[in-house]
Amino acid sequence: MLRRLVVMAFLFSFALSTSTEANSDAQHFWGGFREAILSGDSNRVAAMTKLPLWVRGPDDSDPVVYYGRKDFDRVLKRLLNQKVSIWKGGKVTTTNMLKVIKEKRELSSKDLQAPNSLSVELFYFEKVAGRWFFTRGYLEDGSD
Amino acid sequence: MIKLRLGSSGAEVIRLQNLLNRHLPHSHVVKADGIFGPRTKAAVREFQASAGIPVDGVVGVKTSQALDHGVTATSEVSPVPYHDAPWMKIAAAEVGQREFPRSPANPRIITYHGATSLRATSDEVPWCSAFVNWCLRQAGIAGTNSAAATSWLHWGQITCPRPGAITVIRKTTGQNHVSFYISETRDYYQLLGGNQGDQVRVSNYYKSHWLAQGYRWPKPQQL
Repeated sequence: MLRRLVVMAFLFSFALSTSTEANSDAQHFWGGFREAILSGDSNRVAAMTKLPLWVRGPDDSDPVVYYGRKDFDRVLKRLLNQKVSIWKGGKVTTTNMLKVIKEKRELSSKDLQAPNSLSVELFYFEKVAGRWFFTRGYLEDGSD
Repeated sequence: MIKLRLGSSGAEVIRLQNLLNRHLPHSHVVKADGIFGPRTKAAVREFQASAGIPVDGVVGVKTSQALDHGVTATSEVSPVPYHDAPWMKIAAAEVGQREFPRSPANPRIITYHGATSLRATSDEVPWCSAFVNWCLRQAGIAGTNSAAATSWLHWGQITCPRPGAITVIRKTTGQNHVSFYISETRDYYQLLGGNQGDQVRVSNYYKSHWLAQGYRWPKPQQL
């Protein structure tokens, strides 16, 4: 009985430490990404992006458009400046992705729902082969 | 019966404008001046969309009947607070649930799917209607049990655009989506729902691409 309890405690603490490491890893990436966005350094953002970037509208039927480095600055600007509506405390705030990123210093557990992925409103990120990337963007006014 | 359309004028138009003002939210109020101008036409279109009848901006038999009998002034005139729509609080608590590309399905989305007869087991299957069904079920209201967004067009009773209204929109290319109404601007509908950018969130559906097909509300006996 005692041995079983010890094993369970070990497994629990192992899972907890692994999860904490994953979260701090994601947080570290987010800090760098946020900094690159706020400084307007599109080359640095592009280096943190899986190109060509997957971009789609809000509906499954919207066509997916892939943007390579040549068109990246243009689509990034659109993604950051688009209107975005956020539900918070029973109220809806309309802002834009740039402001969302500026205000989001720390990731929450809701941003980190699945291992190796994180989501901030209309931006989605994945850890691929040990490295985090910005992998998907949603354009609610329709991708071109 | 004489159809009322852009350019019509007189007492019948004043009556129409007063009826529109009874049925539509305050943001859509038109001046009861007896002149059927572009604003009155826009209000007619808005009413037709909310009543689930073909949108053409012309007041014929169907629109006239819906204005007279279809929506009652007591319950449908103005936007209501969210507490009149208990499913909104349930929907809001799910904000952030999303699909995980290249990963096993999000079990929460599979739970939403369980609220329709399709009972899909993948989060890649469209789940907007499943989410609306699930939220209503949590609020103790039986939904359509269907995974089709258009199944909601004949459910419950028609209503005007109001917070919490079950809203069916159609894309110019023919696809449908169902969600909960929050508000709208000249350019877009603001809706809270599932499968919006692969997640539960508030999204802006631009009127250049999407048109409201109908707004529904549970019948009194369903509440």
